[in-house]
Amino acid sequence: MSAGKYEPEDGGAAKGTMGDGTNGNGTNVSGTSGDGMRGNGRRKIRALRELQHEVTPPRDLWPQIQARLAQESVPVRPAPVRSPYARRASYMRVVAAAAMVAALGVGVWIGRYERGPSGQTPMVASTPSTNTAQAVQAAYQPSAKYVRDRAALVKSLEAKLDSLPPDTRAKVLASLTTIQKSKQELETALGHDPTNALLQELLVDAYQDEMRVLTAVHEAAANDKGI
Amino acid sequence: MTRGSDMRTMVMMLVVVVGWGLARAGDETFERTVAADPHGTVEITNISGRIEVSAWDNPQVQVHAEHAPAGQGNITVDSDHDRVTIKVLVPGASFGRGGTQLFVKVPRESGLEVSAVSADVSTRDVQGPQQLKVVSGEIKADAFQKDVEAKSFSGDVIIQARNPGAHLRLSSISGEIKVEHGAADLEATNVSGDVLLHLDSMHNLRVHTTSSDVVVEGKLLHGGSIDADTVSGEMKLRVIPDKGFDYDISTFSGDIDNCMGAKAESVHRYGPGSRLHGSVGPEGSNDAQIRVKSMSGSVRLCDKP
Repeated sequence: MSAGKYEPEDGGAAKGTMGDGTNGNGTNVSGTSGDGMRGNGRRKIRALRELQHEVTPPRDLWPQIQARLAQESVPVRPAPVRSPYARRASYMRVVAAAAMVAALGVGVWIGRYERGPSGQTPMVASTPSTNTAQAVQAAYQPSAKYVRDRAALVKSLEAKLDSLPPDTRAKVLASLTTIQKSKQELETALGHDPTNALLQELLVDAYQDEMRVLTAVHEAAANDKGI
Repeated sequence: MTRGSDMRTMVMMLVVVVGWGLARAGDETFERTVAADPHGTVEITNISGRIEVSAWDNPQVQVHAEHAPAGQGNITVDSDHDRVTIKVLVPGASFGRGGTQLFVKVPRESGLEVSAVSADVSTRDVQGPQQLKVVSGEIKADAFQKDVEAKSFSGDVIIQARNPGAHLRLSSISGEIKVEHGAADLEATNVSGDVLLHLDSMHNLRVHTTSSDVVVEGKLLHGGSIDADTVSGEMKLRVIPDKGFDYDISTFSGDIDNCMGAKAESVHRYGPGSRLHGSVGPEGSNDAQIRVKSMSGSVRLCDKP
């Protein structure tokens, strides 16, 4: 939204009364101009005493109302005189109803939170998480640069591994599998205990280990060509 | 055994001997000695075979190569100011050809920068700083007071720390890391290979592994520290206090054991996680620290030999 200008996110026209006193179609809805002091050639009023003391309505409605009341002859009950106890009980009922609504709201909120935004996956629950990746995202979000660098390293990993001796290749692949398994175990554990600082620290270490190995594979392949 | 069978055996042996002789016919040896700065740096690269470096008291670098690749210029020795560079060049090299055995003598205080792909590397008595990198091969080195950095991809890293002031940075991915004797500062990083540190004494020790088993034995010096963490490896620490130490061990699901009689406590009332912390030694003397973290690996700490 730019300064002084409302720009709706959906790009459509704004509805309702505009800030300039129009209804959006340029029609004046207040019936008076902006300062309320002038209009239709009437005189200006500068003090209350200048107002008319009595204004006679153009039509007297009371006789009709009185006749209608007499016709229906509905007994009018006097307003009950309520004791302080009754007033308090009524007040307590309102408070209790409000509390119930609030408790219901809290319950719904907790239920939605536990089920996650999609309403399917428990994020913090007594039962094991089935979608751990989603759970971990709350605890560890790799930076865009990390994701980009890792993707680049993984993309060329196979070609780089081919340049290594077969036994080294097998060992490196086994180590990468070990790291991957460790990451999954940590993520599963974090799914159960998302705020566990120990697990978060070890998970970050595991991500760093993976990058270290991927980088080492690239360096090793580069050495092979460079010697 | 029949007469025909004897003949066949003899023919096969003859073929083997002739083949071996033909193969050896292509082998060459290489010798070169150049002047060197006693405190300079020697850089060595080899792609396949072996590199053995030893120290002597001459201000020279001597290179002896066996099974050298045929052809002139495939081993180069260049000397430029305080740096001597030795390279084995194998055009279109592939693995498993036996490679080149390099034997190099360097001034005792020289620095070393060794890089090898499919070759074992060993250094003996070199007292300058060493930087040793091997892709597929074992590293064996003596460490003195200067920094030693050793990285192996899949081979073992074996260090004899011959000075208690040694500074070591060691890493592997799947090979074992072994250190013996003492070190002032030691950092060991591994993924799946074991880490075995049998030290006379240590000052600052940092061990980080993914699934490696770790053994640490030795005296923790006054004011020193041990920081160790693993995801699933087993850790056994037998640390003798110089005066005393504080310890703090945390695991998510691993067991914690000790010989000091302390009892690990649960971190959560109903969930996993346990912690053991306390002190060893007379009160006020425990200025050394041990911190261990593990996810599922078990940890054992003992303060007795």
